[in-house]
Amino acid sequence: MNFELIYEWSDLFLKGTLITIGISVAGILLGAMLGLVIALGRMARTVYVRWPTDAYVNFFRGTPLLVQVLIIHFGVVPALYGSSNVYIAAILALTLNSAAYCAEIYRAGIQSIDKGQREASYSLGMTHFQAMRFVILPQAVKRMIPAFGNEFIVLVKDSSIVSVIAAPELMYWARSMGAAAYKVWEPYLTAALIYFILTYSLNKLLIYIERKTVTQ
Amino acid sequence: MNPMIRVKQLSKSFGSNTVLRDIDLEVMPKEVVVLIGASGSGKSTLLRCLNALETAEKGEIWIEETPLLAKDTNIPKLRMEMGMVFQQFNLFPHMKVIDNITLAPIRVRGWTPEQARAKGMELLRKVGLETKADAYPASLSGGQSQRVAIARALAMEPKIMLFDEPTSALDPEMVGEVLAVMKTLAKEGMTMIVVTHEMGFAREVGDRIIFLDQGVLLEQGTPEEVFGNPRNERTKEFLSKVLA
Ligand SMILES: Nc1ncnc2c1ncn2[C@@H]1O[C@H](COP(=O)(O)OP(=O)(O)OP(=O)(O)O)[C@@H](O)[C@H]1O
Ligand SMILES: [Mg+2]
Repeated sequence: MNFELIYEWSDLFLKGTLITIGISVAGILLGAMLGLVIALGRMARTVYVRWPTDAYVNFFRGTPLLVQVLIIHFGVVPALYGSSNVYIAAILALTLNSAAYCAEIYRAGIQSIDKGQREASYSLGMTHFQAMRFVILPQAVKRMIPAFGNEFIVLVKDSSIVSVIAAPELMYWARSMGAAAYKVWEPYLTAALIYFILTYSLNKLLIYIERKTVTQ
Repeated sequence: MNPMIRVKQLSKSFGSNTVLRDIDLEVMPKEVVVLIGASGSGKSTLLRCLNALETAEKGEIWIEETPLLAKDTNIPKLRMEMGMVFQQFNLFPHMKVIDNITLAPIRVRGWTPEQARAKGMELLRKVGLETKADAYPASLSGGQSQRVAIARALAMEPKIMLFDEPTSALDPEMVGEVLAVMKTLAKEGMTMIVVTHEMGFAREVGDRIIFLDQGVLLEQGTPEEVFGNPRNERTKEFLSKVLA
């Protein structure tokens, strides 16, 4: 192990780590918001809303993230903006992908709430939207926290895939170092260690939050 | 006087299972109607059709002047006038008792929180639970939960109250406290439809008893008529079982 070499690259690893954190956080937050819309769409009464949202989830869960990243970077973003931008493409891909998984988490969570809760809300004159907003979601979200946490951990690891479009996150710098210095162990073990520290701390944080919400 | 509720030739099936057949029913203001019948006879389904928790496929339902099954009827608005109390209480477990009660008045009726709270406390006093305002539903007994559920429904100031076996999930020693609250409501002139197996309550509080059998409204009359002198064989059979 050449620790001096790792030290030389440490600034770039740090920068990459921050970008990894940034695009993962953006991906999970935006994905959780979009996922809610999609989950509600999948439970809609009309097929015209249900069909596209079902198709969305099936597409993003049924195709590799790598393929999605390439399509979005070389196809979708240039079509929208004329040229691509690796940050926009990376965040968009992670958002769209995690939205599909978040939608499933919402759906399972919402369906886990006893239907008597909805009926009681309706019987008090609440609309579908009010019942969701004030009665169903507040209860469902608590049950969803562990699943969202897991999705976030998966997303942090999967964000490494955007290194293929040269988004300068952690994995991109590991690959750059490998190529520039003709090394294998130093760059990839360093990257692995940093990913592990990120997901391990997240896991700990998650257990703490779960314990908090249960004792409430 | 016009009826509060009018049901005409109402039928409802779940798939091939016909649960209600050609039900005709009128409920007058301040009337207390008690629905009795064997398990599976369609009592809950009839009640749930009245506030559109189930959709009847045939017939007519009028709540005062509003046709419930018409396409352009505002169902949430109609439900504001009809409180419902469920066998399983269905309190909102993530909210304190007082917030359970004030949620709909604030969000649906648009009252101020102070206004809703004042009304909520008044109702809690009425059901004998003013000390439980800040408790969570999980800490209440069954009887207390059901009284809170009644207060929650009353907070919307409904014109009609529907009760679906409100005491069936309770331990025997808690049945009385819930029936007492319902009795008070009846005395105050609330229009009520009550599904119950409490025949003592039916006899004492009911203005009219309706016997449902396999989705058919077989017999109705005053408690004296139905309990004292049932005409139909099926009614006799049912009563001899439940009164035994
Ligand atoms: N959502 C549903 N889907 C399918 N069948 C249903 C549904 N709800 C009720 N049923 C059926 O309709 C029939 C009448 O049910 P209902 O609950 O109205 O009876 P009930 O008189 O209230 O009985 P109980 O005293 O047991 O509450 C039963 O055969 C029941 O299985
Ligand atoms: Mg029933």
